[in-house]
Amino acid sequence: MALDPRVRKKLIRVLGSDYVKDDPITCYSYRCDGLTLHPAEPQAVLYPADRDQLVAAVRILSEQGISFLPRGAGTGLSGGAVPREGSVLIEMVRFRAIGPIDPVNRTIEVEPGVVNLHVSHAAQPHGLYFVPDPSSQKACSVGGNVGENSGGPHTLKYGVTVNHVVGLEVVLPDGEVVELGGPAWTTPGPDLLSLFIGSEGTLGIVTKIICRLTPLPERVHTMLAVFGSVREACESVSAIIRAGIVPAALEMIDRIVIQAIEQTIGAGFPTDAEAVLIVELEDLREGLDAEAEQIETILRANGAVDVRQAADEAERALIWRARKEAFGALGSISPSFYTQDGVIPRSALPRVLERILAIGAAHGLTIANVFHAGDGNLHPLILYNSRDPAEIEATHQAGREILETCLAEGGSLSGEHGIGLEKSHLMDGAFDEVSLNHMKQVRAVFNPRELLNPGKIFPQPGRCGELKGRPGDAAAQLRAKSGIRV
Amino acid sequence: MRRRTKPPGEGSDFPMSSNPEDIKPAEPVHESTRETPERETGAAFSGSDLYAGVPFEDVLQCVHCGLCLDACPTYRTLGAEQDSPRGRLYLMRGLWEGDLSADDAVTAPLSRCLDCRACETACPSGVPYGQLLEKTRGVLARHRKPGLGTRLFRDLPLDLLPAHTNRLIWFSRLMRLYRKLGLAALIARSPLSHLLPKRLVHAHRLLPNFSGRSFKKRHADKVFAPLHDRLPVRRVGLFTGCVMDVADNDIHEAVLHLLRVAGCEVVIPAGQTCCGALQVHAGTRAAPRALAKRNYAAFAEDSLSAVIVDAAGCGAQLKEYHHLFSDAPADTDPKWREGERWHRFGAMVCDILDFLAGIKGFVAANRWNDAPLRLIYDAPCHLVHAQRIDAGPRALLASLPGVELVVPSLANQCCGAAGIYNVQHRELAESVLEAKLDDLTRTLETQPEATVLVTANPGCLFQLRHGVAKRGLPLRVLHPAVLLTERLLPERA
Repeated sequence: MALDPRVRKKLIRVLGSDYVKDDPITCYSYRCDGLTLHPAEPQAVLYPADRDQLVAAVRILSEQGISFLPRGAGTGLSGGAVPREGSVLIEMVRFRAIGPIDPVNRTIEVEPGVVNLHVSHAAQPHGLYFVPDPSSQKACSVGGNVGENSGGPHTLKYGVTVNHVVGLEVVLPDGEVVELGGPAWTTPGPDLLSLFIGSEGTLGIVTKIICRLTPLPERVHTMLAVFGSVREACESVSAIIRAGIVPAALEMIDRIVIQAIEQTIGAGFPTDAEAVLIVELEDLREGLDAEAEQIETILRANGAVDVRQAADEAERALIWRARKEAFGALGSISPSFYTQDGVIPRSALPRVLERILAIGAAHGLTIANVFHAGDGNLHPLILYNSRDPAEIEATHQAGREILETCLAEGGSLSGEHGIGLEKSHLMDGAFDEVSLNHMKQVRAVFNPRELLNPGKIFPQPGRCGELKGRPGDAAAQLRAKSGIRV
Repeated sequence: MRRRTKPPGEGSDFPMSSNPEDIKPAEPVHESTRETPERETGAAFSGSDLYAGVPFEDVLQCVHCGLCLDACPTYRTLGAEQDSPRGRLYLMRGLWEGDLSADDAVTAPLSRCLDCRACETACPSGVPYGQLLEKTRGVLARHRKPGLGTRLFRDLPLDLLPAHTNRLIWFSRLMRLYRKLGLAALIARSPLSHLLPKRLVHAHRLLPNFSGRSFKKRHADKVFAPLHDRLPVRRVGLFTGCVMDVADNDIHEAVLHLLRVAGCEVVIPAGQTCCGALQVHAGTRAAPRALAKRNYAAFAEDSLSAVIVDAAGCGAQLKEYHHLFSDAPADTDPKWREGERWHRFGAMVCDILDFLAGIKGFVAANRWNDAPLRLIYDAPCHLVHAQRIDAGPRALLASLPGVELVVPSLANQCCGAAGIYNVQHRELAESVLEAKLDDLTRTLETQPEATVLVTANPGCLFQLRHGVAKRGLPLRVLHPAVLLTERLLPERA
């Protein structure tokens, strides 16, 4: 369905005719992001160039009651940028400005369309970098990182996006512009900055981000430990943490993924291994060797058959390329796969992984694993054939059972990919109605009419029973009572 | 939260009223996701007809991860999903599965692709993007007649010229005369240029140095002996191509000389012809298959150990004839259709830089001018992305006495030439070129001593010559073989 001609005319006046697209091919191209299971076409795609254009466009849509949502590079894995209700998609790719950099305070100002890796490239001459390093970092946008509170292998030591952003400029769904946080390291009052980071584009559209930069580590040491069983690899993870060492990254890759990697990337991983662990240490020059030796001892004591050390930066880069491109590499062995993102307490790793394999076997599906073992963030990849409806159904069922297993272990639905539209129907299993209602009321403070990115995060009516009352009402009452001014 | 601006004429902070009746839920703006797009006209074809006889299952390898996006020059320039590799693959899949019909709207983004294949290097799933795009263009060309402009400026010259050496010679002579008379310069610079089609005027800036004679004809079927005996002897064939056979002859001459000082016995078979790459990129399939057969026959001699190519685009095409024949009509002789013969042929094809880099002791066996030279390296897309050749040429150039190699951060990104793309899609190609020139300008700021830029593909050479002139950068743009020959000192008598 194309745009109402009057609305289109208004939008074109603001953005220019090249930047308001509602032709069938454009809409078809934006049916899905990194999650292809639930395609839905937008009614139009807008490409604003700057904040003022965005504000004007948002006001037009808001006045007309047309829902809309932002999109960065579209690499998200939970369907956060899928226009579920035929909303208007606002492509943020033209927000590309990078800098200025403040090397003294170690911050850099970037626009949301900037590619994650480009931030670190810009900071590198100052001996600094931007820590969040999702596997898609060579393509994903910083705006998307803020929306999803993205992590990456190095979250184990350094935390996720919320730990590396100090300020945001946000356009609210009614076109109002607000600044959250700022270059100072703290602001008093409720932490609205943290509330916005990870809100999956349901509270506002980010137009500027002040990123915290971190000094490049003095030395990095990367090891690859080879195991004959997944259980031994998992137990090594717990043993390392128990010894009081916090590696910068602790990643596990199983046999199926190793084979896919070797078919496409060719990183020299042993294809007969059941699992490999990537252990990366980052620290001051002194003491690093001793720590590496200690880890090697732990790894061998827990059954590692081989422990290799990356000899130089090229070998290290190859190991990381293999890890970061592992999802894609699976494309060479299975045309479609469904990525899960459950989190469990580290100690439960061996038992949950066995359970996941059992779930796969029960549904006749192959499940591969490549994940952030150090913080218990699983990424089971369910391989399926997208042309077999029965297999798609089995995939959904297996995915649900895996996440229920995570919840039963006291874990959570998502570590870094977000809930989006993919897992919204599971939220009522993770939270009770009261908590969900509170969350909805928080959303309603900023997004009262649900015009911004509707149908995400929360269970949809009909799937879990409608919540009583309009969340907007409650928010209005709440605001009236408390006198909150935003 | 600090307020920055307040919506004009709004009293309350939110478009909310105290009366809940005023808060209307968003209108259902979209009844349902469209299952099948409208087929606009009866002329449109459904997927199964479109791709009949074309193996296309490899498109399923794309997992839609998007890691290719930032590698794509058109996505970086246009910022639209349908102008990214992932978006184009999604459209191709839509066509293949019958979800989309072959109309202008779907053809446009597919024809805007440079076919630079940087996405293949970025792709973790190993999607053979170039092959899928070329097949799709073939499929579209079969069912849709291109516009008059495309037929006149692209298809007609491609039909008439590349495969005919005598016509190429005449064309080259004409162009040479045209340039000598000053007409080319006149058209490129005078106010007259405003009256002519922009595409035509722009083409003048990209003209090669036509020589009026064929390198191949001059040297055909002679055997050139090695110039010294310090390296093991091997017999190689030299591929001469189409335009490069009648223009910028110093490149082929340089390559011939380099091969002889690399211990090679060189033959230049008269039967060889254009590789067909320009036609394949444009979606023509049948005519280039005939060229492939001629080239196969020309280099069939048993004693050849390699077919040396000095144009990265041609090298990539010669190595990929098996793709071109994978969707050949069913009545094609199986000996051509099956991949094995072409894999064997492709294995013999070798880029000149890669070849020299692989000859142990090549640099040591010759005498070189060791005057200091700071050299900027540009990697042609069809060398680095299509043929995956990168480290060898860099190492070879860096190992020359006196040479310090500078690799700009965007060395592996497209310059916008892409065969004849820069004439077809002038504005987009110029935007892609601008990014490259910005990178070269930055490089020269930190490396002001750099004086030469090398690139191992003729299209890139002409494009970068034009770009360097346009930007006024103090750089000579050379084929690396020409630079190597310049640095080579003569054999002692």
